[in-house]
Amino acid sequence: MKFLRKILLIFLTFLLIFTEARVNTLLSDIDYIEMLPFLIYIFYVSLYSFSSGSSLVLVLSGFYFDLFLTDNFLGYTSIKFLLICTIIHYLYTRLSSGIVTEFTLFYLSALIYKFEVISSSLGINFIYIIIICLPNYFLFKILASTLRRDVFSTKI
Amino acid sequence: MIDNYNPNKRKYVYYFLAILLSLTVLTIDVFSEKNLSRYLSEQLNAVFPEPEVINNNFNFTSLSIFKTKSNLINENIRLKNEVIELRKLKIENEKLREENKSNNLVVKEVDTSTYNILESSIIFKTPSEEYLISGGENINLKVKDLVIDESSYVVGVVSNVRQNRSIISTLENANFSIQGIDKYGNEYLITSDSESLLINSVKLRSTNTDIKLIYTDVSFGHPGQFPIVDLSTIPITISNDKLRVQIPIDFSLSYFSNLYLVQTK
Repeated sequence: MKFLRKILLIFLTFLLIFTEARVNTLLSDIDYIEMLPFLIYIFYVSLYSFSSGSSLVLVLSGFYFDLFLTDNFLGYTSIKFLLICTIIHYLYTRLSSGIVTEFTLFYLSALIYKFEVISSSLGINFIYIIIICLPNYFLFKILASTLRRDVFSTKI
Repeated sequence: MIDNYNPNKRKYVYYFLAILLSLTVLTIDVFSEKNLSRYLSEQLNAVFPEPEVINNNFNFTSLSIFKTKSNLINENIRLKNEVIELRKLKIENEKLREENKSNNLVVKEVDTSTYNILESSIIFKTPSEEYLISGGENINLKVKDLVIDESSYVVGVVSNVRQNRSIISTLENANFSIQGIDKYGNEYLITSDSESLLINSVKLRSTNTDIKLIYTDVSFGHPGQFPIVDLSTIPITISNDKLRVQIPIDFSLSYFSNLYLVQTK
């Protein structure tokens, strides 16, 4: 059952990547709007679900990215995903919790996620990343509050 | 002893091992010149074949339940279906007319006896702002083949070819670069910073400034000669035997853009 769950999760992440690419292709006409559901997933994993199992999911998702959606060498995107997850988890466990810290971490993860775009032209891209981070961080907050709702501690 | 067993540290170890695994795969792929990723991509294509468009015309009148109904109801449904079909045909006809119009524009601009012109479409925008288009090795597409727009201007170059899809680098990509030549034989390197095109001379044979168009050329590995930029309205100055011009990019690629691939026959 655990194995099946893992397989399902892997396929769901593939679907998430596929959706992200498809939505962003359709939104390519509009500047400063970009949906990053897979980055939201990575950020959620690094904050609340940092486990050994999720590393395998990230490796396979990266392979999927490299094989079907990018021109990169196989394994490059996996390393990027794993580094995002490790760095963000490390910083999150050491920094004080708060919305500013969380958003800064989300911004940092987006900077690494969009590393190729930033490295090609610095300056304007930093502002661009902040703008695309805002709706995506808002989506992350909705997702986090929905998934992490503790029913036992809720006051009736 | 208890300190040595830290579950949090163990998770980091797993991530470190996963990075090492990815790094190993990356090294193999680098040394095999992308043969590993190409092989896996082809194998997985066989497992997940491309979805075919199924066009089943569902006919209500063929259902047995309607046979028992009165002829009038049958006739009504048949007519409704016919109207729907006619509407579909009208829409399709309009689309084909538009497509034909844009195709004719390209055919007028390009010598079709020397080149194959293939219409393509965008499948995905990659995270590195490149575009994945339909068509690859299956249509004999090669790296450095050109992507042109309706007025036959170069808008991109094929940067990677897979089995049935390719990645193109467009003028909007910050890593876009292409070499070109003008009517005097001067050679240029045209690069992009995603906002504007930077034109730098590589070899100047003539100091004439009425350059007008910079073309692609077969000597640079591209099908030639297709215009890349038009400098007829831009003031040009040559200093220290170097020409340097910066022009804004007035091109935007979207999911709905018409793209044409050019191949030498």
